[in-house]
Amino acid sequence: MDIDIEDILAELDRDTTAVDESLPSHDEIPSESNTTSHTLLNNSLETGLNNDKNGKRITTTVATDNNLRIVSPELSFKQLMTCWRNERCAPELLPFPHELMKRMMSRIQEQMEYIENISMGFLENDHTHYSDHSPQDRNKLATDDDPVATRMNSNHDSKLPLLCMEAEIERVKFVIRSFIRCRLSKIDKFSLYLRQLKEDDTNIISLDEILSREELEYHERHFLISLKLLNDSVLKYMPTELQAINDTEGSVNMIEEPDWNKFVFIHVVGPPDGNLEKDSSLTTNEFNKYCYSVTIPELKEDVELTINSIYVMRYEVIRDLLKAGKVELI
Amino acid sequence: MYGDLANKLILEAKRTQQLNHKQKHAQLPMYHEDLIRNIIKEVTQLKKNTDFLKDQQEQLQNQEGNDNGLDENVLKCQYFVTLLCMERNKRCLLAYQKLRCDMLDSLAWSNSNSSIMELESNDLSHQEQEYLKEYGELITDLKSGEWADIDLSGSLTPPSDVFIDVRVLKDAGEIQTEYGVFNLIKDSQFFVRQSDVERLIQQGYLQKI
Repeated sequence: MDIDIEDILAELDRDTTAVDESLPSHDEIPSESNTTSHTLLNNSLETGLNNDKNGKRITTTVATDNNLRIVSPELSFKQLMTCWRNERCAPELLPFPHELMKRMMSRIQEQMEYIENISMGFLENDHTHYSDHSPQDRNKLATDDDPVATRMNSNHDSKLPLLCMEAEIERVKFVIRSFIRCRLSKIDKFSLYLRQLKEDDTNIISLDEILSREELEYHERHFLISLKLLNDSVLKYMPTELQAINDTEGSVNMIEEPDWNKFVFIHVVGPPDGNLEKDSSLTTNEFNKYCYSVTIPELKEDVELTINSIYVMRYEVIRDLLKAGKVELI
Repeated sequence: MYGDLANKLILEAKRTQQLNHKQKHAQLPMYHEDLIRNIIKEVTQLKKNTDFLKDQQEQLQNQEGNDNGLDENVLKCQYFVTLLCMERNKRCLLAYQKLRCDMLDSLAWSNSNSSIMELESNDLSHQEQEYLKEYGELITDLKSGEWADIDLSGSLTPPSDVFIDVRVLKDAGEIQTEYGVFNLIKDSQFFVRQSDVERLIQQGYLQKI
């Protein structure tokens, strides 16, 4: 007789290691007690990674709807990559990931300072920068900073970690830069449309949610100066009934909306927490595979989106799934 | 016919667009002041027509009793067509201006403080120069805000190498960058960190090998 003990074994596994399944096991995962205490201290939702006294990296936790989610630097980078890809492929301006960006920015700043501090350690022979410090002072500075720094100090000629860190930070900065530039160009494109959203009170999603503070300001100012240019050079000479820049009554609608029916490539990844049973929108098809079923309204056609497969699909159809993080654009 | 002039303008815009497609740092051709002035003149003419038509309509309405149904319809039609002509002209003018606007934007992003802008300013209309200046300020403000750590106007090609070889194309003497001093002598080569020289490559002093 076969007795299936998989679930009992799984329980045992969870007990001993306390590892979140989505993360590969390495030293960044704190023990359970560590996490909770940190949550209390940090009042959650706080900025990302800190180096504590042991030099061990702690991951902060974010409280969402009373269940705790572990946010490691690695995970937030993954999220950033997803955001970036989605933004680049989607026809509309997606909501700004406020928390994520706040975390990333503070982390970049920390890491840059950290690199600076380490490279100071390399300037041992160069006394121009350090003329007011005694060597002991310098050593202490490095020790206080991080054990890695001291390790580097004792072993100057190995610049590889430093190089890697710099390359890494260049890459992260590139992703964020590209992300923001992409959003800015979309803001330019949909300037009038966004403005219309703002004036429309019946709208579900507010502009503060879609845009960050800087982007709001950029939108506002860029709109004003381009309006001024168009007004001075063209609209001024028009008869009064044609002077509006956002005329929707004329033969051509002057407000450019996102192309909701644009075809995009999607990868169906399934629910973000990986728990297939809990997702109520999931169904199983005849081959016993999990899939989402969506309807294309114009063709009145139902489509099954099986998990882990790739489709070319109208954006409008998968918009809600994208917002829920169940599909990714590629 | 009305609208032909505007068509010419749009063809011009199309050519600018294609020019821009071919080379990366395409120059913005001269602002078509004459053509635009003519179109605007045409619009003023059309506007006069509409005013005249409106007057006529009122007159017709005043002298009731006659069977002026036909005349009224003719007037309505004339009025509507004139309005459409003006709308067409407006559309063309705006399209032309917007295209130039977008090109100015990308120019401002690619090299916000280099010499190309001054070179071109003769070709820009007065309003465009003002716009470019203000947009430049906007970008500077944006860069110095929350996102100061990320150089927003920096390169949009992903960094694949940390260190690169560069060749100096133009003699520029000693140049101070944020990270140190380079002595840029023509035809010399350096092996440097990419992030240090990105700016200089953008400005055309260095060539990446």
